[in-house]
Amino acid sequence: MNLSFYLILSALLFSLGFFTVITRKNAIGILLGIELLINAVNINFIAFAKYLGNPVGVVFVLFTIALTVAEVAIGLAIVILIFRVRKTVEADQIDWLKG
Amino acid sequence: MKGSLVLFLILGLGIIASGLGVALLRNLFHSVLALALVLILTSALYLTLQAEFVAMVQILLYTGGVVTLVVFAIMLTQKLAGSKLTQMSRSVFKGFVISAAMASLIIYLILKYQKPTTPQAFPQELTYSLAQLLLNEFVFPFEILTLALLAALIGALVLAREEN
Repeated sequence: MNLSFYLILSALLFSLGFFTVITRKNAIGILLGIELLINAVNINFIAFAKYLGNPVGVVFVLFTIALTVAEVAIGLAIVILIFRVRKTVEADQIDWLKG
Repeated sequence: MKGSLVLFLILGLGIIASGLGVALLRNLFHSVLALALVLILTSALYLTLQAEFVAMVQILLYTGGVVTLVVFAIMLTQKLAGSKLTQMSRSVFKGFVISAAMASLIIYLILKYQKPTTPQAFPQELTYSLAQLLLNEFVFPFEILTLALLAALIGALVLAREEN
């Protein structure tokens, strides 16, 4: 088992997440794409930690997992707030800052 | 060695297939279920890399916490059944081209450079060394993290609160 297998899997997953982020209209769908991105990065961290025999990479994964949960909580709170004001969660229609 | 390769291929194909589900499924609720599948399969992948503790944290926090949160948000903002939930993606072709270009660039760079080829044993039991690292070398970021979580919780409450 070469490390490249894990890196390629993670690269594919990262691109899928990127695709989700730029093609979804729905703000919650964009958040799901961000989850995929972070998951791909976590796979990289764990694979490198295992192949270098260094547990520090796993510590970083614990940090990113905790921060992702916080990020999702904040993101969904913002989505619900926008929905209450605008009655929509479509990213195209959230354009208050357009002049 | 052969068995681990087969296991990796099964898990990897499962992860990519459910990732495609997250990206492409019309119904957002089905996307969330596909995301849960991605996260569970990823934690199985962590198990094959001998990172049991992270696999458990992944299932508890991501699959238990994040997916539940997202389902609640969908329930609050849309009807779970019916036409409101289906959503068109915009500029699918452009997005596909950009993502495919990015994937091929990353994979080209991965294959170009030399990397370690065999897994190394961790110096100690992984959970043990994680505890050592978190409470010695990384104790300051760890404390900052607790503050960030507290701030995020209070912030989410304040943001989503009904104003009157």
